[in-house]
Amino acid sequence: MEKLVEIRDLVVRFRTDEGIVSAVNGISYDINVGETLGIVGESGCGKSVSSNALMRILPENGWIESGSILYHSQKGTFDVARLSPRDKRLELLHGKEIAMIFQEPMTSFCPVYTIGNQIMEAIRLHTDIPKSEQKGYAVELLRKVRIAKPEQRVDEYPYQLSGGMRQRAMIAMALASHPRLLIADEPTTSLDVTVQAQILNLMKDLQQEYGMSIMMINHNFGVIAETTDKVAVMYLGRIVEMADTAELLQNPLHPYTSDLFRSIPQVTDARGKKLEYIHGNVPDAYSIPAGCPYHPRCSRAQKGLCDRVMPQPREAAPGHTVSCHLL
Amino acid sequence: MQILRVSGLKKYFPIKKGFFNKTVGYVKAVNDIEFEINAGETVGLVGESGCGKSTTGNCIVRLLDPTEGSILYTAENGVTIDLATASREEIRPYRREIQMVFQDPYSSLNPRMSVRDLIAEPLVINKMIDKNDISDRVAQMMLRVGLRPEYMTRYAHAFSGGQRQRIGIARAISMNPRLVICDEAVSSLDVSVQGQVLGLLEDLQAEYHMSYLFVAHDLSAVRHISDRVVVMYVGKVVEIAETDELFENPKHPYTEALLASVPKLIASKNQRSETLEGEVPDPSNPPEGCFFHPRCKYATEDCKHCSQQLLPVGDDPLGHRTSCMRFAQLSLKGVK
Repeated sequence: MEKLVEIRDLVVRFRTDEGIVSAVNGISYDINVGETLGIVGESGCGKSVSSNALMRILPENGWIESGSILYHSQKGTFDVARLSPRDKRLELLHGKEIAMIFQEPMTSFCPVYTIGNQIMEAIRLHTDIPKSEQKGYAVELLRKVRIAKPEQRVDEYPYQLSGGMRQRAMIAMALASHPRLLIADEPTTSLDVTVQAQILNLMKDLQQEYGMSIMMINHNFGVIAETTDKVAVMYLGRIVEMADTAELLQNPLHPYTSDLFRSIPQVTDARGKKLEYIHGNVPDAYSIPAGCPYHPRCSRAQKGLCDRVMPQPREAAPGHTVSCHLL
Repeated sequence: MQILRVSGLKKYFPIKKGFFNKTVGYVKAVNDIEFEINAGETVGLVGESGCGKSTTGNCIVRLLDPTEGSILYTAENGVTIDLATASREEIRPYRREIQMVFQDPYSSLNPRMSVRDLIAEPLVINKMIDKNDISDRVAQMMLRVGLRPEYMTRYAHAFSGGQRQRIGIARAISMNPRLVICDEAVSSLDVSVQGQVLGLLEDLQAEYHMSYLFVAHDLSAVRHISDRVVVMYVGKVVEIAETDELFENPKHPYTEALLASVPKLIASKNQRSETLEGEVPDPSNPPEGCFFHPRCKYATEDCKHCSQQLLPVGDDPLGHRTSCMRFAQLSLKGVK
């Protein structure tokens, strides 16, 4: 399979008042062309930081400490981690070849410009469509994301649209430049289930049509199951398990993954099925435990091993890597 | 035994326009609903955003004054009081018995109060505690909800979302309530923490024999915790049933559609889930007849004149009920 992104041993750090924090701590993954990679984990595990590093939009107090992010653009391959902030090639990442949609579609739009205006801005920046045709193209994009009456909606302001419609408009804006990678950071978390199902179907259809890769950042395993080919489970800045989605769901090998499965109520479970919830909290990033980061909460942790030695990723089955001593 | 019976409840919010603030219409947030809560049971209240779930909860604790209808509450001392029409003075003795846990543990706790003050506040206001006992009682409550009593003097900002939600729960149960309205109590929490808080709510219920009204949009959590489920759509109750019955054998097309849209672990990328098209209608201007008919794939001409009364599915008038007049002709799919 043709590779689009290759991330190797990426470490991202942040300087905070309490000290220096490694939000992402040596992660490696690939995104292939036309494939959907899911990244799951709880808040603070570094899901979004890794995608922000890939787009080089880390906040001012964050930096890439080490590792490489090879991006195979249409204009050649380069290491995103080594680009200077003024490099022209960054423009490729910012909306041209990589587009991003966010969790909160209300705050991601500017409230004082019409939807059409904001989509036309993306068209103006990333395509060479002449000015006279830009509005028509914006309407066409809105139609593509199945917004009813796009000719009318294009002149409306974000507050006039419902949450689901705003997320559709957001996707329309992302599609303006025919991106090769769409980063979807919790795109449906704030939406109702019925709207969520519509948006997920829309994303799947558009992926086929545009042949783009999708990076689906989410904490809902159901959404991951329905949309991804491959999935990486993150815990405290590390990838603890990575496999094809079907394989991971049927055969979770890392204790964190299987504990998480057992702690989430499923709509298909009969009433009263006992949940085996994970004890304790995710440790904060300032006091990451020694050894395996999950060992204080792990029921199978072995003294003298798990609390001392950091497990390295191992291939348990072809394409299924796990970082756990107990395999 | 029923402890709460809601019937004909309406809550309309006026839409005001123009210089003279003329009322030009009403948002019918809750539009003639009925359901009941029995002692010691958990009733799940589900529906999409804007369907009136939270408004219903707020009417029961009288954070909002209902427009019409009755909320009959049978108190611990056997007195039945209509919470919809009673005055503040009349409700006061029973306030303690109905408590609420809110969705957002960040904005529902006063940042200027320590955990000790937060948990003791309802006890002090209701004069249920002697000043000297406060620390002991608070420590006991903190232990009960899984917090360490050493942190009593800390402020809310020092706690994580899950811990804050535990503080909120401690505040509610410190009053020994009989009914707790949990308004999206786990929605803003991380997945592993959601499981913990659901487990805590179940343990507390077993210990204190409280009833819960569990308002949520997450159907998986609702199925897990509820004994019975009430489904709402645009201010109306469309279906009520025992949990497993509702999920496995829904009798309203809206319930079926809602269940079909939940992402499931067994799904794969190549499947498209069945979706409900269109948008939720505007509650100030709902469609004629059944509010769901414009989006319903089973709708017929008759549905435009449906009165949306709840009809019993079986013989029991308080058992499985649906507002779909065509339920007998339809064979709807649930989730197993």
